[in-house]
Amino acid sequence: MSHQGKKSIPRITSDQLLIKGGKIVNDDQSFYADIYVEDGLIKQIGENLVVPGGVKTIDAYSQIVMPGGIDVHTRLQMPIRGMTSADDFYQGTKAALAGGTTMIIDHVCAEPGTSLLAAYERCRASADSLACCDYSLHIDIPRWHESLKEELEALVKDKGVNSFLVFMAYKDKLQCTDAQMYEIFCIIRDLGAIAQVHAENGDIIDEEQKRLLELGITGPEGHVLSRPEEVEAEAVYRAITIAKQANCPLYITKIMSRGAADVLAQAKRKGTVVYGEPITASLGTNGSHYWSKNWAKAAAFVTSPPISPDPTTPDHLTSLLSCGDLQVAGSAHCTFTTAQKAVGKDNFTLIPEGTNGIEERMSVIWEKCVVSGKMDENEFVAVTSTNAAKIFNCYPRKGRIAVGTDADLVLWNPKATKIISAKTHNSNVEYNIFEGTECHGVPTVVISQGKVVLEDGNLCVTQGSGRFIPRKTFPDFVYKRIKARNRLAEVHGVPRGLYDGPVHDVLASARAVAPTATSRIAPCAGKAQAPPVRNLHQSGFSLSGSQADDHITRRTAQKIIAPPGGRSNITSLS
Amino acid sequence: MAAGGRRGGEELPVYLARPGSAAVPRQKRGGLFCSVEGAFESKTLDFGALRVGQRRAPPPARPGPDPGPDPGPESEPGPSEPRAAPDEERLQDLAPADGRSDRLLIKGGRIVNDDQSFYADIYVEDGLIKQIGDNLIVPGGVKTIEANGKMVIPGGIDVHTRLQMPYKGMTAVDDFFQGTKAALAGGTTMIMDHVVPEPESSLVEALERWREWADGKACCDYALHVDMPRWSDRVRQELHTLVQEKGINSFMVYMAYKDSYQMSNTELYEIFSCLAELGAIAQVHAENGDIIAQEQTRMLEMGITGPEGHVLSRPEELEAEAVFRAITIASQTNCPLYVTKVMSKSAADLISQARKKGNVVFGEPITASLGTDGTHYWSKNWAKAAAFVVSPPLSPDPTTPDYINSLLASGDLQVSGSAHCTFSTAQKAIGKDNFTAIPEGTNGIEERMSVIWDKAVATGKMDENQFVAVTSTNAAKIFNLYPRKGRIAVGSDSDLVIWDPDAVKIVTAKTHQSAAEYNIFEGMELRGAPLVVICQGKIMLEDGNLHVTQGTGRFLPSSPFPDYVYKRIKARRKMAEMHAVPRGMYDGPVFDLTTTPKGGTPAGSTRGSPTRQTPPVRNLHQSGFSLSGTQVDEGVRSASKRIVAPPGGRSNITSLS
Repeated sequence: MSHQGKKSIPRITSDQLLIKGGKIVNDDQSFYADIYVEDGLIKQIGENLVVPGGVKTIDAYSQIVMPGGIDVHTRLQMPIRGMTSADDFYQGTKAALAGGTTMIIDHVCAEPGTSLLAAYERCRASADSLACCDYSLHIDIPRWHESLKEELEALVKDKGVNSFLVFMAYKDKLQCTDAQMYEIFCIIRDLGAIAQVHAENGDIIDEEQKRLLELGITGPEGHVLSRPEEVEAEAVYRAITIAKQANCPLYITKIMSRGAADVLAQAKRKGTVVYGEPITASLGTNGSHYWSKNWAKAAAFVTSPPISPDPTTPDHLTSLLSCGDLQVAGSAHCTFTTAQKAVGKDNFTLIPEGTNGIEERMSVIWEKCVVSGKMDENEFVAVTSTNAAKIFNCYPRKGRIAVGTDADLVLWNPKATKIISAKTHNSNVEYNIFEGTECHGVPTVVISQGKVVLEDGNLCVTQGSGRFIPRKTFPDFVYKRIKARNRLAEVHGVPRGLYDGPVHDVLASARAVAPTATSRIAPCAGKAQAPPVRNLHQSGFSLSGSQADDHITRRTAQKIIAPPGGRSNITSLS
Repeated sequence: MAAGGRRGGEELPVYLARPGSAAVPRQKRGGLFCSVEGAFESKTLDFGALRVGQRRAPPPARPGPDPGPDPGPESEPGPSEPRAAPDEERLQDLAPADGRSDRLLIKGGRIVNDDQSFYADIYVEDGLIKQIGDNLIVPGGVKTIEANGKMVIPGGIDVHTRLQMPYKGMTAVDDFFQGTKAALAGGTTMIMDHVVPEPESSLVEALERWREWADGKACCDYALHVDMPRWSDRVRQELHTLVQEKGINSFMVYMAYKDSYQMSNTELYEIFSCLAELGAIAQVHAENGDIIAQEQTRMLEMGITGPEGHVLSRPEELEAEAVFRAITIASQTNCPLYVTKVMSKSAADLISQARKKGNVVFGEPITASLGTDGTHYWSKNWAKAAAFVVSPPLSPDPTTPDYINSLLASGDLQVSGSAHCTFSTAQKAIGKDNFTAIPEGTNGIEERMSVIWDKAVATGKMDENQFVAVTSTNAAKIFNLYPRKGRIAVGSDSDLVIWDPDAVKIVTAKTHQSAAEYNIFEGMELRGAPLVVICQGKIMLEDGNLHVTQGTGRFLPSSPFPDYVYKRIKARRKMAEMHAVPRGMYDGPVFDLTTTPKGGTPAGSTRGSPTRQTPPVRNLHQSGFSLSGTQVDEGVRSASKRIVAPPGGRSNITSLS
């Protein structure tokens, strides 16, 4: 599995491919047909296709042909504290292809206070030269200030980005306040992009970290102890509330715990436009390993939010993924070598966060969901590929097998098995958090951009062949509902006659502050004021009693726009 | 029965028809606090039985039928007999010959506590309940109240009032006199008021000021919560003083009112940790202030300036979100949480969910949220709409009151307050052009008991015992005043209410006791009303007449660590200790951070050369370690130490779910 990419290019000179005899699986239906691919696009689907002679033919009998996976969350080559995550765009996308994923959406993480555009360009430059499969980019918003607004506009309009991530954790570094989030969500909604959040309550985490370090807990178990599940669920709830207020579609990255997933599922039931992304780690393993006596092993699991120590979590999350409460699956692949992790050997807060999963994602989901009977193959395609393409607006170019779409295909053999191990994986790290997991269902052939990149267990990738996929704004899948609600959500004041009664005098110690002891100790004076005020009133008004004046319309020409009983928040469907 | 005949035309219920001697065995020994030992023996004559039906005879005329074989030592007692407390002497001067004797006998009532109901008489002396039982031996000449089978319940405790609250140089129109008078009129015999210090002023000083105001004016007993406007080390010290010396065990923080009272999450965490150590109860005003501020700006920009803007800028979700957050932080710090003013369905739901998970959290709906809804914010009458302005706002969903009553009945919510904080229409009108300036607060101190009876008991959601629990007993337990308050038992304070479940009253501003011109329950017909209210052993309300005395209310200090709340907290604290995993020293290679240290900026250069650094590191590793594969090396490094934290457990030990 060495770098044999370059030399193997000539072997597949032909741009034409015929896939024969497979069962084509889309998210809506499965059917038997052959596929003819040319110039990186699917040209024909059907039986007895008329194809040019000498075309390379792939035999797909007894296999499933499905759209290549889309990994919605990777952090390849991510810089952190002067280090860079161990898998760069080449290594990472190679691992992705090996696992049946033919497109990744990576996160651009700019340093706080620097330009997002510059970070984007840097990332584009390295990805264009290294990536072996198509990719797209999310932009992380590290710290909000007004000037970023123009950058967001530029990114959306000129750079093909339609999703931005804000952090609710990492206090004093990346964390946004509630007010900032509201502002950002409003801007994102106006731009037609998608708001992603890293949902954890950073304030509480910060306090808990201090407490644990004081208690002398410095190992990786401190990581999970300082970030209990409730803290994640709380932030999810808050993010949903704010997004709903701003009428902005919300996408929650890394659903790691039952609590967070349940909160999200409830919100969906109430009609909120919200999507949840569990990751390979939360679907495939649990956080009991944080207590491993082997520091390096325990540290390998460190990611935020942490993997839940509750061993029933993966089961619960896969159930929600199967029933549609969670929609897409990412990997949050962000690997660090043990030496890099060991930066935090005496202080868990310094351990760089991230786990592997880009390569294992498809197999883990197949094993946990399809083999166990929770979902069928169509749903599998939906959560690993189609939904992602729809949400991030690259459907149907990606995420579907149809004439005219990109020829990113995977031949999947549900009968084959594979045991995950760091010895055989394609990532650069010494440790694999799924070590020893046996997966039924492996990709046998992977086709990216119409070229065979995996066949017979051999990977033949080409550095730099990956293209950037620009994404348009206002994805229909997400924004149709938002637009309709925007139209509905206008609120109107009640037309009233002018209030002409007496107004209490707010003198001297006017606004808010400091009615000091003097004004304070005059409660009797306050009481003395009341009776005359009341008398005045009784002459001018008829307030009490049956309120007979309620229906006397002062300005008959105006209709009552907001009826009683309605309109607390018109977008609420519940 | 015989007694029925004796009284001729009197239409008395069967259960009252009991002669003095051959008493029908009544339910009496059911509870711990039931009766006085021997109270049923050696009775020759039961005065009460003789006097049934003469209830309305003037008290001074009482001594007439008395001089029987009374075994009591004081055979000639009178209302004027000197008693110890000087307060009471003064009282008698003020209201002579009006039945304000220190001794009272309540006959023929059905005593309703939160756990059971039973028929018994109550004898009250010196403001305390001295005896409970049948055929009590009491001194002669005691004023007797005939309960005629009506319920006798512990006086209500209103856990949330804001009487005489200063706001922007104004003062809420109901001061401690007016407010407590209204409370007594409604069957509430104790209030818990909020001290609201100015942001930079001292909490202790503020408390003293409130004490001064209340001591001079209150007509019923009171306790105080202290609101925390800011958090600092000085405030922390003051909390110690307040808890340990001043008799305060509950403090309130705000999650709303951005830039004035609002606390950040970090501050909440610190405050809750501090309160948990002190054994106090953390109260929160739960609303997300950041979002409210944004929404208010938006509303005003859209030209919405009336009271409807108040509710539009504070949608129900913001309340629920803050409740969720407060519960999370409290659970993290292992601090008991008390959510004031539960106004919406979703906030109530979250509290009940959290309780199901085992969190120590209490929720307080208020009269307004139990009795009315927020549709009136759209009233064309500005003054009417403004009268409903309170935060969190009343939910515009008209099914909310019913829902909250159900949760109160099921025990998911535990206590009820009134959040009584009234402003006159002229005061409200300072916000006539800008809803954010309208002073917030509604009435409810007087209506609380009747609203709950009408909405929850009369509809069959709860029984009379549960009614006592949510209006009185639970509050006393949470704030550590039990069993002095909140229970009818020997030795408890004699704060009693004779409740008439059949009385029907129409609420109107014309007849209410509050000084406000507007009553948000205007026109509501409420079943259930107090017939007689006894506070500190004195009759405050009888025959529809209020007899209150300014300044008779006492401050009740509440001690920290209430059992009802802290038993669980203490147990969990013992469990919740965390231990590090004993590991051998990590002796592998460590990535070199020398060039760009802490959080620095890896500029374009580091990004562009990603592959350079890693390979050597990896090679180093492969020689020194055996990381991958079956991980056979686990657990061998220090075999002598036990594994303290087992895999799969311990995410948060206090969580029971």
